Amino acid sequence: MNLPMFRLARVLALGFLVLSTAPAAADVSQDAQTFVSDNGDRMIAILDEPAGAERSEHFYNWLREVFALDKLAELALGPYRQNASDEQLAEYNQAFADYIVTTYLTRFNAFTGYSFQVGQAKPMNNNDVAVRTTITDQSGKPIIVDFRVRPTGGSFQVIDVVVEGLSMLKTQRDEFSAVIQRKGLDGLIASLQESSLSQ
Amino acid sequence: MFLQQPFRFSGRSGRIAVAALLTIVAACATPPEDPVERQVFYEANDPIEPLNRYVYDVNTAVDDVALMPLSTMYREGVPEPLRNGIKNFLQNLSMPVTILNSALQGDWDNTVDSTVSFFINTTAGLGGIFDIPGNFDEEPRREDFGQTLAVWGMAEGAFIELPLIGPSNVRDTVGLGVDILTDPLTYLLTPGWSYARAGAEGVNKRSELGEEYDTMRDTSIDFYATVRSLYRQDRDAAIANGDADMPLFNDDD
Repeated sequence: MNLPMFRLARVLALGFLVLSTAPAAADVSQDAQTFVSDNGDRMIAILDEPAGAERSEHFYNWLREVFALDKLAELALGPYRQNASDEQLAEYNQAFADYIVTTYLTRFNAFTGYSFQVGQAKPMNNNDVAVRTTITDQSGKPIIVDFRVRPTGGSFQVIDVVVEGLSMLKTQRDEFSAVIQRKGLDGLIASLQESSLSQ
Repeated sequence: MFLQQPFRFSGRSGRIAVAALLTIVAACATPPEDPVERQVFYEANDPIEPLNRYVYDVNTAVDDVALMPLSTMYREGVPEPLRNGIKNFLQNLSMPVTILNSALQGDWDNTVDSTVSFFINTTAGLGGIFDIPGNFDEEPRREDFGQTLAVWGMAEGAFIELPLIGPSNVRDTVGLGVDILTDPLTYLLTPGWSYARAGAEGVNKRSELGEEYDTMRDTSIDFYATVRSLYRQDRDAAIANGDADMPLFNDDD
C-alpha cells in the first residue's frame, strides 16, 4: 500500500512512451538509444489514434515487433518452464501476448502530458544494453526508466522495463510463479485469458 | 538472563499471544522436495504465506471500506496546494529519523542535506508546510532504520504482511520499531496526536497512489504476489540509494 505500486503502474504505462532527442554515444549503445527513441515516437503516434479495434491492432503489431514477447513469456515463466509440455507452452505464449497487449493498453490509456528524454546507454554483462530514459510528469518530477534491449541481428528487442528500480519482468515472474504454485500452469493460462477478455 | 523471573503468559492477552504464535508456527511451511517448487519457494521468500495472505485480505477490506473512500474524498475535496502543504508537513516530520539514519549509514552528504533541509523548512517553511528548495544536487532521500540494518549487513528475513501497515519483512519490522523509538515526536506528541499523524500519513500515501494503483490492482492476476515483489524491489532500490542493478535473469534458469 505505498509508493512502489504507484511507480510500477506508471512504469508499465510509461515504459512504452519513450521518445525524444538521443545524443551521440558509441556504436551499439548509440544504436540502442536510437532504437528506443524511434520506437517511442511510433508508440506515441499509435496512442494518438482514435480508440478502437484498429488502434489495438496497430498497438499489437508494434508490441510484437519491439518487445521480445516470446522471450519475455519464457523468462516470466521462470523455473516452471522445465515442467511444461509443448502444448502448454504454445497456449501460454499466446495467452501471455494477449494479456500484455490488453493490460498495457488499459494501463497507459490514462497517461497524457508526460515528456521523455533518452539518456545514457550502458552495455550489460551479457550482450544486452541498458538504455536510461527520464520521463517527466506534469508536476515536473522526473522518473528514471531503464530499458533493457537485446541486439537481434541489425536491430533490437526490449527484454525488460525498469522504473525506479522496479522491473516489469521480475514482477511478472514473481506474480506468475505465485499463481502457478496455487493453481498450476493451466490455472495461470486460464487467469491470463480471463484477464484479457474482461478488459 | 534478561528476565529475573520466568516469563509467563497470563490472562486474556496471554492466551491471544499464544494463539497468534501457534498460528504462525502452523502457517510456517517447510521447503518443498520438488526442485522447481523449491526454487520458487525460496525466490518468494514467504514461508508464512497463508497467514500473510489472510492479513492482506483484512488490509484490503480495511482499504475498501475506510482508507480508499477517505483518500478519494481527500483528493477530490481538498485543493491541491493545501494537500501539498500537508504532504510537505508530514515529510518534514519524518526528517529527524532520516537525519539519524543517514548518519548511522555513514552517508554524510545526505546527513547534511537532510539536516539543512529540516531546519530551513521548519523555520522559513513555517513548520514544513512549504518545501523551500535547497541548494542540493538532488532532494535528500528518506532513510530509515530498516535501510540502516541492510547497510550494516543484516539480511531481509522472511516477508511479513503487517496488519494495517502492509508489506514488510523481518528486517523492516525491526526497523519500524526502532524508528518509532528514535523519533523525537514519539515523546513530544500525546497519543492522540500520534494517531492523528499516523492516520494522516495513511490517507496522504493512499491518495498519492491514485487511480493508477486501482487500475494496476484490477489488471493484476495475483495482486498479493505483485505487491510482495514490488515491495522487495522498492526496498532494494532504496537501500542502494537508487543505484540497484537491473535484474539479470539467466536465460537458462
